[in-house]
Formats: sequence, C-alpha cells, structure tokens
Amino acid sequence: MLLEVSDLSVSYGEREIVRNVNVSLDEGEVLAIVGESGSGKTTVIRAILGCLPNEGRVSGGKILFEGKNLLGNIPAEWCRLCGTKATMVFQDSGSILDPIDRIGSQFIEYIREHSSLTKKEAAKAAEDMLRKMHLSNPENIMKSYPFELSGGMRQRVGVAMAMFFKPRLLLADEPTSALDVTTQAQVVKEMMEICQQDKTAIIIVTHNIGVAAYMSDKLIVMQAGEIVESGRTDEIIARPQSIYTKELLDAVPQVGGKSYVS
Amino acid sequence: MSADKETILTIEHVTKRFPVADKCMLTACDNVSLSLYEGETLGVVGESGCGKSTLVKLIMQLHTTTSGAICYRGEDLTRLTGERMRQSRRHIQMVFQDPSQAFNPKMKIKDILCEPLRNFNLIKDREAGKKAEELLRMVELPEEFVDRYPGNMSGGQRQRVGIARALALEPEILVCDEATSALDVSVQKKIIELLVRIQREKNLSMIFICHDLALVSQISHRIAVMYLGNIVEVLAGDVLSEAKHPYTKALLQAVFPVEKKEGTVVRPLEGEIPSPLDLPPGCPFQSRCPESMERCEREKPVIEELWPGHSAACHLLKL
Repeated sequence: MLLEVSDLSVSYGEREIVRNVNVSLDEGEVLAIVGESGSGKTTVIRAILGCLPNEGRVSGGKILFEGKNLLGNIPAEWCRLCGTKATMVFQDSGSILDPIDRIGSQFIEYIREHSSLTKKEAAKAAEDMLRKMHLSNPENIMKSYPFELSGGMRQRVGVAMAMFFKPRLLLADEPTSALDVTTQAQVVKEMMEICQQDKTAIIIVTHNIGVAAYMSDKLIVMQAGEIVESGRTDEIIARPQSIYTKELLDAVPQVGGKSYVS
Repeated sequence: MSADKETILTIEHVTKRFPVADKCMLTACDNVSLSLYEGETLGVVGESGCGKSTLVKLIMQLHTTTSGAICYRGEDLTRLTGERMRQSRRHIQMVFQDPSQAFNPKMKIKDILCEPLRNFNLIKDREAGKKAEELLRMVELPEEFVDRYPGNMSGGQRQRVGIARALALEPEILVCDEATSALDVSVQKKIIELLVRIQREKNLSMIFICHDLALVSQISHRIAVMYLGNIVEVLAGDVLSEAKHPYTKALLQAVFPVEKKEGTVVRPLEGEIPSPLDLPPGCPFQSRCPESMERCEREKPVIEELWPGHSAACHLLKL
C-alpha cells in the first residue's frame, strides 16, 4: 500500500471540517474525489501534503505514506518529501509561478533545489520534460514569462514540474477546471500518459464527474466533510448506492441527454 | 420548427474590431448573423476567446459595433442614442456569470431588485418591499431575503437574485452569460429548471452563452457554435451530436462522458486557438482542422444552409 489515510479529521480553528476520511491507494492507482464546493475535497489532499492553510490542522487519524506516518514529520522531512516523492498540481498553475520571473529560471531553480544537476543539465532536462507534455517549442516557453502563456500551457507547465522527479504520488486539485473542454482533454490525456509511464499514483480532486470517470480506478464521493460513498469508479457510476451520489450523477448534463425544452 | 415563430432579435453582419498596440486590429466578431425567435433559447458555445462575450456586449449595447445592425423588433439598436437608447434597454436584460460580483455588497436585496424599476420610474418607494417579495417568490427564494445583503447568501441563491433582478423590468429577451458556470452541478440543475419554468410562463426569449456543450444541448432550441469570432455552425439543440462542422465535432469529442459507452473515444483537438490578431486568409479553423484542404487556405467558407434549421460554414460539406 502506497498511501493509507485512516480516520482523518481536519479542523479549522474549533470547527471540524473533515471527519473520518479513509483513503487507500496502491502504486499507480488513480483515485478521484468528487463532491460539491465546500465538501472538504481539497482539504483532504492538502492535509496529505501537509499544506493546510494557517488555521487548519489535522485533529485526528493517521496518514501513512510508504509505511511512515506523515503527521510526525519535522519540517526537514516535509522538504524531502514534497516536490520529489509527492507533488501537487493546482487549479491555476499560473498562481504558483512567479509573475516576474521566466518559466525557465523557475523550472531550473525547482530542479536544482531537489537535485545536484548543473544549471545547463537542469535546463536541458526541463526542456525535455516540457516536450514530453507535448508542448511545442519548449525553448521559447523556457524564455517566456507566465503571463505570455495561455491558461492551458501554464497548466501543462505545472504538470511538467510536478512530474519531473517521477513522484510516487501526484495530488491534483481541480487541475482542469479553469480550462476549455478541448484543452481539458489534452491536459487530462497527457497527465494520464506520463503517470502511466512512471507508475505514479494520482489523487484527483474534481467536480467534473466526466473527468473523474475517465481517469480513475477508484472514486470517493464527499458531502459536508464526510465520505458518502467510495468504491470502484465504474461500479459507483453504474450503480450508485447513496441518494446523494444518485442526485449528483443525475445533475450532470450530458450530450444527448434529456432536453429541458422540447 | 422555428419558421412559424416571430423573430424578436436579428443580428445582421455584425463585426467588432478592437484596436490594439502597434496599429493592429483584433477582430472579436466577424460578420456574425443570427436571429432569435420568440420564446426560444439560443445557445452560443465556443472556447474562451472565441468572441461569445463580445457578442453579448454588442447585443447589450455595452460595446458599439464596428459595422452591422442589431434589430430588436425591427428597430436598429446600434443607431439609437440618448434617452431612446436608455429606454430600449428595458427589453433586453442580462444575468452575469459571477453572482458574487454582480451586486453592490452594501445594498439590501430589496434595493437590488427594485433598482431597475426605480431607474425607469416604474415603482413608488412604498411599493418596493412588496414588489421585491413578489420577485423573490418567482425565483423560489423566501420573502424574508428582502432585508439580507448579498454577502449572506450562497452562490445559488445569489444567482437566483441575479435572475430576479434581470426579470424585474419584464424584458422580452434574457441574456445569460455563463450564468451557471460558477455553480456546482446540482445547483446548476436547479437554476436551469427555474429558467426553463420562467421561460415557459413568460414566453421569454433567451440567449444562453456557455462553454459546456452538454448543458447547452439540453436547454437550447438552437445552438450557434463560434470559433475565432465567426459563427461556424447553427443547428437544433437536440441534434448536436449529429453536428457536421469539423470544429463542432472536435468539441464534442473532447467531452468526457460520465458513462463510458462502447466506442466513445475522447479525442482532444490538437493545438491551441490561434491569435485573433493576424488571422490568415481562408477558413479560421484551418490550422487545427484534421480535414483541411488546399481550398481552405485560400477561401473563407460562408455559412450556408445545409437543410432547414441546420447551417454550417465549411468547404468540405459542399463537396
């Protein structure tokens, strides 16, 4: 078992936001967490990577990653883990990039922070990684500032950075929610392709059930800080058990679905 | 189907160009022609940057057109000025994408809802509370909300207030610009049901701008697909899956279906939408079209009717 989260509870100040969450993930497995805004999806994955916002803290449970309880980590241990073995892709990769620094220099800085490559080697490796994400003209991208790239390109740069060290676990927080359908399809496919090559396990948080169904082996449905249903993705979608899951699936618009107006 | 209905709004050869740096021109809408029938929902889809929102702003008279006419019941809105233009705004109202930014946070709901009526001197101050309650009932919100502030409401509730405000003047046309994109699917479903109900009751015409193809196909009578400022295909909502234009087909293939059916493949469209600044001659879609031919580079296809109710702009369809 790569990751085992048991009875996780997270509180912001006095309020308990997430209760009794259990997650288990094997190497190379893809888990999707779906639910509405405010259901605690993002809080769960942030807790796993130890990056809860100021007020937030884990108030109960265990997070075992490769058999080690992450909750006992000291800051130096988090530094060794995050960015190499476990990484994260955010909803808007533009906001993790420094707006007044070129993509190349940020990518190189990130690589050199975690390895002993020289600047030249790092630059070449970064370009190769961008090429792997099917970004045309990586040399130009390395020279660009974040604002010069489109949202889809920035998102791919974010995925390229997150996948650079072939992490064991990739956490993706709404990675395609801000993108158009066409760009979303590209990013999802490229993310899956690279993760399958490297046998990276993914936890993807999304409110797009279509994307969740396409990517994941396992599915967790959350509502108001608790898991209402979890299991194999195809089974839940074919035979949802809880009323909430049924309502959620029913509300997703579908091409060729029932028309409201005719 | 729509032939026997009365046309309420016609957009005729509307072009909008914005001047940008270095004396370049950005063409946001290029020779767009569309008509809206009474009681109908017209969906407009396309990727970001395709000119959907510019089109809306032209209809709302928030931008002036570079050329072309927008006629509401035969009257060209683009030629109106001053008080006549102000009066014309009563007939076309808008619901915005982000309900948390569409209101003045320091105004109570009752003042928000009655402001449009006050602008046109249609209401006396002592009637305001009652009118606001009536509007809230229409969008299925409790009457007590009249004294709330927008900050104390959820996104879905705020969007209902947005709809109530847009309908306060009893417009004939409601323009929704990504009105449900910021909401969760279950909330979105309720808002859509509300809009459809109100449309039936009031015989309202709607223009529904959206990037979610599935949603648009379920709520529109007709759909217009835009690409780089051009309308590339217009077809009935329930036959979206039978689209003919390569761009519409590509958009459909990029949607992830919830239930994996046999034979459905998600195929992303390669490349990015080109810059609208220096467009090559010929078809705007040529750079990403899988079936592009030599003629597409030379000649821009005009939108033509394939059969009643379905038009597309593509050379391939005329072979």
